[in-house]
Amino acid sequence: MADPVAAPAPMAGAAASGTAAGRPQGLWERLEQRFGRREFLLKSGWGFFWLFLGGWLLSNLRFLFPNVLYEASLAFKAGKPDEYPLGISEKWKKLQRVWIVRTPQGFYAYWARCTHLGCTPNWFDAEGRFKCPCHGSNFNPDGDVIAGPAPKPLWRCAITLADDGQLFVDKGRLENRPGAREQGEFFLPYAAA
Amino acid sequence: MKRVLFTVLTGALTALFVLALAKDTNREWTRYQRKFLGTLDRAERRGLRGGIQQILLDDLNRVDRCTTCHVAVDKPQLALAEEPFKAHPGKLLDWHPPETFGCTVCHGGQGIASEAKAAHGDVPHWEEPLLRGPLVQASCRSCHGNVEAIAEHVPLLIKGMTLFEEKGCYGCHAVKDFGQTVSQDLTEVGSKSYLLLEADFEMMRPPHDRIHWLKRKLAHPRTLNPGVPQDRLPEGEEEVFPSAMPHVGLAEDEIEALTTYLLSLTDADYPASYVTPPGPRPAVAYASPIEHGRAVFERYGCTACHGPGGSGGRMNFNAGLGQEVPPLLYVKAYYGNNVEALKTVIREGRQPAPRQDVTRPNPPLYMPAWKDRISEEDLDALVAYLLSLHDRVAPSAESAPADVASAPPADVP
Amino acid sequence: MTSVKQYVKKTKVWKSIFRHDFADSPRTRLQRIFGNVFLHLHPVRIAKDAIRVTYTWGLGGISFYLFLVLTVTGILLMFYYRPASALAYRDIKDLSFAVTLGGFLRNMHRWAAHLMVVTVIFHMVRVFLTGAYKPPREYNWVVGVLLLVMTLFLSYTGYLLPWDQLALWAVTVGAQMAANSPLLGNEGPFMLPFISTQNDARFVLVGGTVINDATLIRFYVLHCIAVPFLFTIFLAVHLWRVRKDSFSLQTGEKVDVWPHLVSREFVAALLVTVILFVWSIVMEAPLEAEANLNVTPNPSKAPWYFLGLQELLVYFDPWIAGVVLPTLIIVGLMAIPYVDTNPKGVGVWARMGWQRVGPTRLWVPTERPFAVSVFMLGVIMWFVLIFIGTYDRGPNWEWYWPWEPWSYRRLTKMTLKNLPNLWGLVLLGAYFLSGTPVPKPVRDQMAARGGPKAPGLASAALHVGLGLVIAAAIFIPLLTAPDPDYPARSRYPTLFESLGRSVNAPMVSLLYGWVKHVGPAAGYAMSGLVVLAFGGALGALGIAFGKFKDRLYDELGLIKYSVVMALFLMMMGVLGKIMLRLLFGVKYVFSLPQFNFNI
Repeated sequence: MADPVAAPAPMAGAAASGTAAGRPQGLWERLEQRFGRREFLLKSGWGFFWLFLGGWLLSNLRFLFPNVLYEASLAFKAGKPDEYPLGISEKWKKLQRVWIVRTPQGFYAYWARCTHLGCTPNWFDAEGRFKCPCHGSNFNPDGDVIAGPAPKPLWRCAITLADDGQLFVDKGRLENRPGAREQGEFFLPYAAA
Repeated sequence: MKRVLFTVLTGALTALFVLALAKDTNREWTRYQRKFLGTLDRAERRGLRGGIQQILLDDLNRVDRCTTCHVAVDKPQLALAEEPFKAHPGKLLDWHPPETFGCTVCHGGQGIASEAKAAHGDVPHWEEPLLRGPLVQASCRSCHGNVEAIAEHVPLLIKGMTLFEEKGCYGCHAVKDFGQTVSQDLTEVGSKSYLLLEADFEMMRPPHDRIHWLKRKLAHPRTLNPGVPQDRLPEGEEEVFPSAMPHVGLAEDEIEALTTYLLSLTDADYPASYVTPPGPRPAVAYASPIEHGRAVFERYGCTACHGPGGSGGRMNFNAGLGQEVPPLLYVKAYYGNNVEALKTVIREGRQPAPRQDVTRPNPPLYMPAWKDRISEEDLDALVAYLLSLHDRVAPSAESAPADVASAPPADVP
Repeated sequence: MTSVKQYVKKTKVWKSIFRHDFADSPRTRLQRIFGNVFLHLHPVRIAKDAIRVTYTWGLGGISFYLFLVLTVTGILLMFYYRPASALAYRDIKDLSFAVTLGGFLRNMHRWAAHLMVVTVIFHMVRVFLTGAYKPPREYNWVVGVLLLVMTLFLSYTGYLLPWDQLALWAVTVGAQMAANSPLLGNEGPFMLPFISTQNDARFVLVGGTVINDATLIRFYVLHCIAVPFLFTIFLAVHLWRVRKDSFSLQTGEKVDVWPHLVSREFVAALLVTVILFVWSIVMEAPLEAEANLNVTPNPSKAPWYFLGLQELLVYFDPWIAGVVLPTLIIVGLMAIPYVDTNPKGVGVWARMGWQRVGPTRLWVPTERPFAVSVFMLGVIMWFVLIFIGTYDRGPNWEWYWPWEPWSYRRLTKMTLKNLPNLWGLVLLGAYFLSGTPVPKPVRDQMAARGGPKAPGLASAALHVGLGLVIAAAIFIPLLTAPDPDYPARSRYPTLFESLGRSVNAPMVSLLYGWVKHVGPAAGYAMSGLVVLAFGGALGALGIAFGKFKDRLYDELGLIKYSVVMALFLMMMGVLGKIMLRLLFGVKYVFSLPQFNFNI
């Protein structure tokens, strides 16, 4: 145990003499001077401890994020365009959770997942709307919300024509903003003729 | 007071425990097994094991415990004349050994259950009903791709398949890669989730299962979807037409046959070792182009809407020309000089059909495009057949039953 | 017989285990408690009033006992359950079809979980109503709230394990809330730029982007190990703190814990077991069809204790209802002991009585009128929402009265409209401003300048003004604003017409009916009167409680007052928003879809 009163004096003296002698002051001395040796060791010890613990906990958190998923591919081929009548086709809803919509102008595809909390809405042909059974969100055939709590229109998936003439739907690329969703890869112009 | 409470509570607890234990040990199957064993003598009992019996079918991802009560199913020498102690009829078990096939693959129901009601699927939340009687033939198609080869064992299924083609169901419904998309795809109708049928169940009496739904739908297509007539609509809403499915006037046995066939259209996907692939469709030689055309007409389901022999008469709500699908008897008069235009109509379809009243919704039925489905050769034959129709006398009313559009639903609850 | 007993008692083995004899003497009564690690949780002597059944109703102890029941039944169930999607559902079926007492144990586990949620909530209500959270027991209340949250989370994670439709969709909804959380969710507001479906909060919760085996094993581990582990730690702290902080009721003579308290605990545990046995014999735990992502059951309901939350989800943007409001509820509950400076009412059930509140006499809790009323209002609201979710919601989450049969083919097209944002902002601003107090220095200054009545008049003017602004901000847009959806979807060009003709905005329909039948001039005049009356009523309410508010401010100081008032206004705001939706057909008061900000 260093004498708390006496201890600083010699150190200060040593430091002063160090500079007086023109010797460049070492890092160690300066740290000693700043914190005191025991204090410094303790503080750096705790510093390392928290650094380690924080890093360890963060790495554990990272551990919980899987790097590979055992999930089906998000893109699929949906057959020839001519197989689809005008209107909303539920053909792929079961396997791929997608509705394919054909209008006189062409095709687009919805991801069959309510934008509210992810339930699968049902298509009511007679009423011309999608209704979500979980919280009652309703969407019109354009995918816009017409009732219920859903904050956003239904997601449209990218839909293109593959080389073999089949529709190619990719749920990995989604768009629901009016304006953007009716063009580019989210709408496939296809005339009936 | 405290001591009384203490005694009452511990006493009650003991009684309840005994009750729970009794309820658990005295299962339905224990009674059946006891009854069955009672009919046997000592020698016959040898080798029989009591308790829950099960057939473990890893390949088929199921466990069948039916033999727990149906104890004598594979032991004809011990079987009795009453259920559940009968032996399996016929030689079917020789061809389908139970240790490889189990029971529910063919009969449906809930194999894992050990109580009759649950096992037979007569409980909520179990969507595979027991296929009673000849309906069991539906299951054969899950493995037998070539049902024609086992035709003698599955008469009802074959009849259903034939009817499906004969009545022109393919004209609107697709099954796998064949048929049109005017209405629902029926590829997996035999395993359609009950959750999607709830609205239809509301319009029919219990039991609310797939079998009864199919039968009701086939017998009275419109009672399950009666639509909302204009006078009962809430203000500002659009009219809802009834189901557009034509009423084809099926007899009781025809309904049974079609139900069997439709139940066979499931999403079942058994391992290849169980499955026999379908044989090739036999090539048919036709006597004349017109005969060929008629075969095409029937095969692709034109009859469903245009009537047998193109006689027309199917209801199509709000369609032009009297809310009916146009008859084809006058094709020659319209297109006689312009066969290409006729072919174009067949190839491209007419979608949607022209409306009679523009303020009401589109007609539910329309002419679909056939260009990817009918080959050029078949198309030529079909056109030849259509042009020949005017020569015939229009079939009389009996032979082409007019669509019974507004037949009052017999038993809507 | 006796000699054998005597002999056994003299053996070394016996003596090494039991350090004292069991004759009922004052000495052994004490020895039983401190000689036993489990009973050692108790003090040796306790005030007689503290263990009166009608004081605590034994709710904390019963909750603890239910936790033990759940642990035991849960461990037993784990012997048969395999957490894989191909097996889980079958294993649960197997329990009732092929395992001796398997179905019974599953029922017991399920019903004990339900019962535990109830007893934990009631325990909290009891502690609140007897003021037992007040100093020095503030921290233990916080731990208790954490235990409540963990109880609910245990229920939630356990819900997925049967792998049936009920489970899948409850968890789908719950997990989607994580995706809607601010910053960390990929569909929430203020989304961080690097957040995608592949690394957001939902991803880590379900272990992927869809609910599958990865989710099942995650929830299994959380349910069976991780959360119970944490729960046990906090439970230990909670129980230890009960001892260390002493009981809230110390009156009455001291009695020995053995046998007085221990016997009561034993009887309570017996009673709960009897109830669980009856319940498990009579009712089967639900099990629906096997999980199927392609079809959602209609309606798809969460377990009852989450139905209040699910009902809230109808009225707000998911991140508000699913993340912000629950967080506020939890934080608000935890804050209670720190903002409630009223020292009264510790150790007694809140007594009700007629008391002068503002202008009228009301039947209110006499000693802690504000605290008890607000807390109970919150609890009641929560249960009302649960009731609505359970009994008033049918297919497509549409409103059905309990006596109405459900119909899957009902043609109800809900018409809901947003308030124009500007009006919404005015409404929100006026509403939250109405929480402003008039501090004492300001009051004094006013009194000095304008006479003794000036502060009262100023406060009254403020509240009537704000009331009128609120009324105006609700009614003016509803009566006059154009329908922004017109002509795309609506047949009618103004909100008034669209909502007035709809079936889900009774108040607007009423006014619309007047305008239609009595004629525009009279109709609008009558509507104007309604606005005035509504605003005036709000103002009157403000005046009535204005003085109380000022006093509250003087007592609590700025920070505590702000916390209390903010939480109170949020709670009442939720109620107000629900009313706006149900009576006026207002979808959102303020809506910025670009930022997912919809309230």
